[in-house]
Amino acid sequence: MKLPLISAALGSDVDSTALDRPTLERGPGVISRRGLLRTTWVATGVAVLATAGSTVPWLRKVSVLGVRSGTGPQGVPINHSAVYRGVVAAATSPAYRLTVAYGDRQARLSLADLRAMSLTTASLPIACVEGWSAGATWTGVPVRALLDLVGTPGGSEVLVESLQEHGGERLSTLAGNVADHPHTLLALALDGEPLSLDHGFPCRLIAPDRPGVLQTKWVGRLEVAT
Amino acid sequence: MRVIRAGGVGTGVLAAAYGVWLLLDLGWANTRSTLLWLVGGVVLHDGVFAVLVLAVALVALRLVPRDRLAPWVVALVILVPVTLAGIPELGRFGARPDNPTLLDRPYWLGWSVMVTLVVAGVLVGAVATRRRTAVRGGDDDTGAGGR
Repeated sequence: MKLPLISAALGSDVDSTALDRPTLERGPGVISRRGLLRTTWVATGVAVLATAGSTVPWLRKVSVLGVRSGTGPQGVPINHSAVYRGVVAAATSPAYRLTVAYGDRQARLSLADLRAMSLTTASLPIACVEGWSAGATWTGVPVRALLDLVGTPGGSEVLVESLQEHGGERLSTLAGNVADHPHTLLALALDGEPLSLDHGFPCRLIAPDRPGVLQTKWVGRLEVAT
Repeated sequence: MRVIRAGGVGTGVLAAAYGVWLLLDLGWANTRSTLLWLVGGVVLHDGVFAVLVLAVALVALRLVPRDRLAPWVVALVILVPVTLAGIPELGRFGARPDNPTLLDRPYWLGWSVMVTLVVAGVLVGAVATRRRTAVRGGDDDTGAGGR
């Protein structure tokens, strides 16, 4: 076991040669061991500064190799665009209707219908599992108000369905207490402007305490099982 | 001592076996990818990167006096890893025309600025060290640290 030797080496001066193997070539290196160690600290620091800004907002300006600058349309980055998810036609169609279903009771609302409802504005973060997060002000219809249209009892679990036909984030489930929260919105606007197509136009889910992948975009249907 | 050694070996074998068992549980495709990743990393590091580093060192030792090499080593130790880590950004791999929020920086410009700053820092450090050792009149203690 080399543990005593390891312990002795760790405890002695880093530039000490007392514990070196006898076969090791003597003589000064190009750089001292201490110098090399310090250099690796600097190298680590430079690498962190150069990349961590994608996740740590205050490093964004110096993270020249960050995978995202942390902005995007309306100040929020995008993971999957409407083009990528193939929803452009369905999302921009004048025939778009949001379906709210509770058993055999159904409500179908156009975008104008949604805009005519009583809207709530909430400041909520969107935090992506890919590592970025951004705060924004969202305006939309509380999900609870939509559920009330079809007489859904409080505390019901809601299945949120996107217009997109593929992709892991097509469906998400809102627990009953989350669905009833006044800040759980079907957002129509972001920072006072209509949602951009890539942010989920005509409407997207935004709720407190949820990873971004569950904040379903291009919502087409809310369903509560009876 | 023999007991401790046997205990260490036993624990290691058991831990490795448990890891292999977990790995096989992931299905063959995942196992193959994992093995490829593990072996590929070792092969790339020891078989390619280490050889390149030795070749560069061999050439550098012939071209530059030994006592002037320290700043070069410092600059390369800082810049090579961060550049390797930045390959996906510099090559814009995974960029998508429909998503301008991804890979949305001028990466080559940023990289150039970073290289300039690091090289400038290393040069300043090298000059300072050289002055200090000249004033002391002593031999260069190869103290390239702190740069």
